[in-house]
Amino acid sequence: MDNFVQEFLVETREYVEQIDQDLLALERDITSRDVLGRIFRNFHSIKGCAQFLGFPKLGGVSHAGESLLSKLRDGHLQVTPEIITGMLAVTDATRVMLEAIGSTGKDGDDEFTSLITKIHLLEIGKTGVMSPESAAPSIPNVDVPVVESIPQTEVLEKPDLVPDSPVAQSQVTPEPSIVDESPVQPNLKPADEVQKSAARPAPMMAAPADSTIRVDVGLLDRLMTLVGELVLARNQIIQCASTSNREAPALQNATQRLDSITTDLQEGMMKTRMQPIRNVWNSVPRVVRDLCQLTGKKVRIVMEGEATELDKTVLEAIKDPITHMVRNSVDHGVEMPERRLELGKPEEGVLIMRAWHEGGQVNIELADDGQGIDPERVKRKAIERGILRADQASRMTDREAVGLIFRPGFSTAETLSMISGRGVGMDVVKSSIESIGGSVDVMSDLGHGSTMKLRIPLTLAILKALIIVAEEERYAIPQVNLVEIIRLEGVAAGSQIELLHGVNVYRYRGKLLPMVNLNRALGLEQGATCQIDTPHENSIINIVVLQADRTLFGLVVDKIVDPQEIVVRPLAKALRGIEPLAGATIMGDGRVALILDVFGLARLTNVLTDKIRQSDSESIDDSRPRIRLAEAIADMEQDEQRQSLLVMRATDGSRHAIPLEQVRRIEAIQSSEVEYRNGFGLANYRGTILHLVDPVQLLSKLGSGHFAPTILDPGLDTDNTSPSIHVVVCREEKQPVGLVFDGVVDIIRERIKATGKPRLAGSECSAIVGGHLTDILDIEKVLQVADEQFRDQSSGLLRGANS
Amino acid sequence: MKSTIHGTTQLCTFALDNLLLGLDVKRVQEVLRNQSMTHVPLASPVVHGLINLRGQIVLAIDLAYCLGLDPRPRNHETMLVVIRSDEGAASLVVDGIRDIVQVQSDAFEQPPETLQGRGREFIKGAYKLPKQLLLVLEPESILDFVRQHGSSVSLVSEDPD
Repeated sequence: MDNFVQEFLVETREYVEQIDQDLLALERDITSRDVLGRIFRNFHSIKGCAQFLGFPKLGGVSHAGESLLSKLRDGHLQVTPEIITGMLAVTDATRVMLEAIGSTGKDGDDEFTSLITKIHLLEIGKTGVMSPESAAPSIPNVDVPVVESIPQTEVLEKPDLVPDSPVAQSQVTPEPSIVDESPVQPNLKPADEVQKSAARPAPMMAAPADSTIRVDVGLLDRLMTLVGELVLARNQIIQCASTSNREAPALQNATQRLDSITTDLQEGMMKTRMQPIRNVWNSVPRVVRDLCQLTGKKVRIVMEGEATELDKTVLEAIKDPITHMVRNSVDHGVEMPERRLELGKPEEGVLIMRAWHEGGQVNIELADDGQGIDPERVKRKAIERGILRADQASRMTDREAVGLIFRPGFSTAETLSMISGRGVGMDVVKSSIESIGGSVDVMSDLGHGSTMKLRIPLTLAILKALIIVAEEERYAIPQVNLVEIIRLEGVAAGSQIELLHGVNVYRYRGKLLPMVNLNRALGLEQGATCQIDTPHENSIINIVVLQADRTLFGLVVDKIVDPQEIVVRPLAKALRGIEPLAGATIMGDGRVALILDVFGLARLTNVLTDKIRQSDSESIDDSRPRIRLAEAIADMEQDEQRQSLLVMRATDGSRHAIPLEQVRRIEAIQSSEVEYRNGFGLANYRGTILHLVDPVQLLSKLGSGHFAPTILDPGLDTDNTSPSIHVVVCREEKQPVGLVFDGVVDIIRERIKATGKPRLAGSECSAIVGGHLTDILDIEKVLQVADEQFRDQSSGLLRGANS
Repeated sequence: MKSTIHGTTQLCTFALDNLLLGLDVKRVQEVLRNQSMTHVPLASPVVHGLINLRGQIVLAIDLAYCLGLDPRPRNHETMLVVIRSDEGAASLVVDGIRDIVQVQSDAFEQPPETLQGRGREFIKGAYKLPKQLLLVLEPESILDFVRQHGSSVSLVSEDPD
C-alpha cells in the first residue's frame, strides 16, 4: 500500500479517536470553544487528506460533518445531544471507510447519503432528525441506516457486544441476527467504553497501521540515555572480567552474553529513532507548489533515496534548512517559463533531491537546473553590503565567490521577495547544519543550475570516535573528521616534517599539510601551536590527519589509543564557550573524556579562518559528482584551475614536473636498500615490491625508439654522493611503480604555458616553471612504457630461461 | 532561601584553607572523595575538571579560586561537595568536610560593607559560632559566575562588575 495512505490511516484513526472523545466532552460542556475548535480542525484535516488522496466518499461525509461544525463554531447553532449523535455517526461512518481503505485501498461502496442528508437537516436547524431518544449519548436507532451499510464485521463493534475481552470478541464470526438487537441497548455502556469499542479496528484486520505505536520522544530519549549507561557499565564489566580470575568461566560467559545483548539492544534502540528522510521531504512538494503558484514558475520535483534513514533529532535539525534551500532554488534558481523557453530549456524546471548513505554519514543533494549563481553578481552584492572589499573580490575565484552566499548578512535578491529573504539566510542554514556536525557546500554552473550538498551525521547520540591521548588525558575525535593516521619514527620524522617560516608542515601526498600541536593548542604545554619539538632518535610522531570543512590539517598527538563508539554528552553550560570542545563522554574505566570539535580546533589554531582562502588547493577530492549537473560544474572548475605540479630534479640534473594529483607519495629510499634483479631496480614499499623506473633513461630510450631493458642504472648505487634516492610513487595498485629522482625541487601551483615541443617523447610538453625549463611528464605514458618494458623484460627472461 | 536566615537551619560545613564554610544541607546532594578528575583544557581556572557521578558528567568548581584563594592543584586529593542546581548537579572542590551544624538565625550577620568584589556575591553572611565564623555561601551566584566565565581563559582575578 502507498506510504501516504498508510500514514493517512494511522493519522486519521487518531483523529477519529480524538474527535470521539471531544464530542463526548463537548456534550458534557457545550460551551467549550476549545474542544469545538479542535473537533473542527480534526475533521478538516480528515476531509483535506481524504480529498487529496482520492477518497471522495470519505471526503463527502467528513465535509458534511465539517460544515455542521462550522455552524456550531460560528454560533449559528447550539450544541444539542442530537447533533452530537449525528456527529458520532459521522465518525463511525469514517471508521467504516477507513477499514475499507485499509483492506481494499478504496473507501467502500456506500455513499452514506442518508447520513449526509441528516447532517444537512441538523445543519439547517431541524430537530428530531436523528432519533426520538436523541438524548442518548451513543448511537441510537436512527443510526440504523448507517449500521446497515456497514460491512458485517463492523456490526460486531456495537456497544452491546463490548465484553471484558475485546480480543476474543473480535474473533466471533459475524451473525446477522446481532444487527437487529444491537444498535440501542437500554442500559447504555459508559460513553468512553462505547467509543473504545468503536475505535477498535475491524476484526481480522491486521491493519499495518496497528503494528506501529506512537511513543513520546522524551521517553525514547531517556531510554537512549539508559542504553548509553548500559553500554558504559558493560564496558566496565568487560574490563573487570578480563583482568579478573580466568578460572571463573561463569563470569566470562555471563560477560559475553551481556556484551552481545547490550550491543543488540543498543542497535535496536538506535533504530527506533531512525526515520526516513521522506518525513522531511514530504513537505517539499507542497512548498514548491505554493511557490510556483505565487511566482508562475513551473517546477518538477525528482526525489531519490527518500528511504534513507536518519536519527530523528538530526532529521528535525535539517528540516528548516532544507525547506529554506528548496525555497531558494525555486525562487532564485529556476527561471520563469518564458525565460526558460527563450534559453532553450524545457519550460518546466527540475529540482532534484537525493539522499544516500556514505561512510557513516548521509549526503543530501539539492540540484536545480535554473540560472545558477552568478559569481560577479554575488561579489557585487557582497561589496555593497560591506562583506567584501573590492580588492579581495578581484582575487577571488568563481567558486569562492559563490561560497559568499553563506556569509552572514548576505542576500542576492535584488528586491526582497515574498518568498525568500524572510529572516533565514544561507548563513543560518550553514550554521544550523554545522551545529549538528554536518557541512554544506554549493556548486554552481552559471546558466545551468546550482547544487547544494549537505553532509550530515547519522545520529547525534552515539559517535564513532578515535581516542587519543594528550598530556595523559584522553580525548575523542569524531571519526567523520578523520582522514588518516600517520606514524613517523625516529630521526626520519625530522626530514618529513619541515619548518615553513615558523610553522611546521608535513608533505602529505605531495601537498603541504599544516601541523597543529594538540598539547599546545589546548594550552597543556607552552609554545607555538603550529610547531612541534625537533624529532630525535627515539621520538615517535603521531599525526592524525583531520578534515574541517574542505581543509586538511595534521594534528600531532601524544598517543593514539583506538577507535571506539562513544555516547555523546553535552557539556555543562559553563564550558560551552570553549571552541575546540564538542562534548564529553564516559570511557570504559568510568573516567570522563572530552570530545574535540575539529572545526573549533581548526578555527582556534587558524587552520580555518574567516578570511577567504584558497580552499581548492587544500581540498580533498571528495566531491565525486553524482549527477550530470555536478559533473559539468566540476569539469568547468577543472578548466579554471591552475595546475599543481611537483617539480623534481632528475638524475641527469634536468627538471621534471608531475601533476600533483598523480603523485601518490614521495618516499626517500636509501640507495643501499635498492636491490637489483635482472636489470630491475626493486625496493620494499609498504610490504610490496616497488618497481623503480628512472624516467630520464626510460624516456630518452623511448625517444630513440630503443627499448633497452635498463630500467634503473645500477651505477646509481655506487654514486656515494647521494645516499638516498627520492622515489615518486605514481601507482599503488596493480604493480607499484616509483619514478626515481635525485631530489625534490618544489611544489608549485601555476597555469602552465607550453613553451615548446616536448624535450622527451614521454613528456606532455616543456614549459618554463619558475625560470627553469621543465618537462611536464605524462605519467600515463610513462607508466605504459614502463609496463611494456617489464613485460618485454620478463618474457625475454623467460625465453632466455627456456632456450 | 529565607528559611536559612530565619529560625534554625542545618548547614553542611567544610574547610578551605583556614576558612569554615557552610551550605544549606538542602542544597547539598552528597559528598565525594577521590574522584578521578578530567582536566578541561582552555577552561577558566574556576573549572577544576569533570567527574563521572554514576553516569552523570558533573562539573567540579574550584571554590578556592572563586573566593580569591590559591586554586587547588590538579592532582590535589579532591574532596567534593555535590550541590543540586537547575542544570543538574555541580560540585565544589574543598579541603575537608566538617560537621553538619545547626545554627540559629540570630547568630547570623550580613557581611560588612568593607567586603567588596566577588567575595561579597558568593558569601551570603556569617554565623557567629563560639570559636569561629561560619561563612554561608550563596550557591546560585557561584554557579552563575561559573556559567558566565567558565569558558573564558583570561579571567581577571577580580570581576570589575
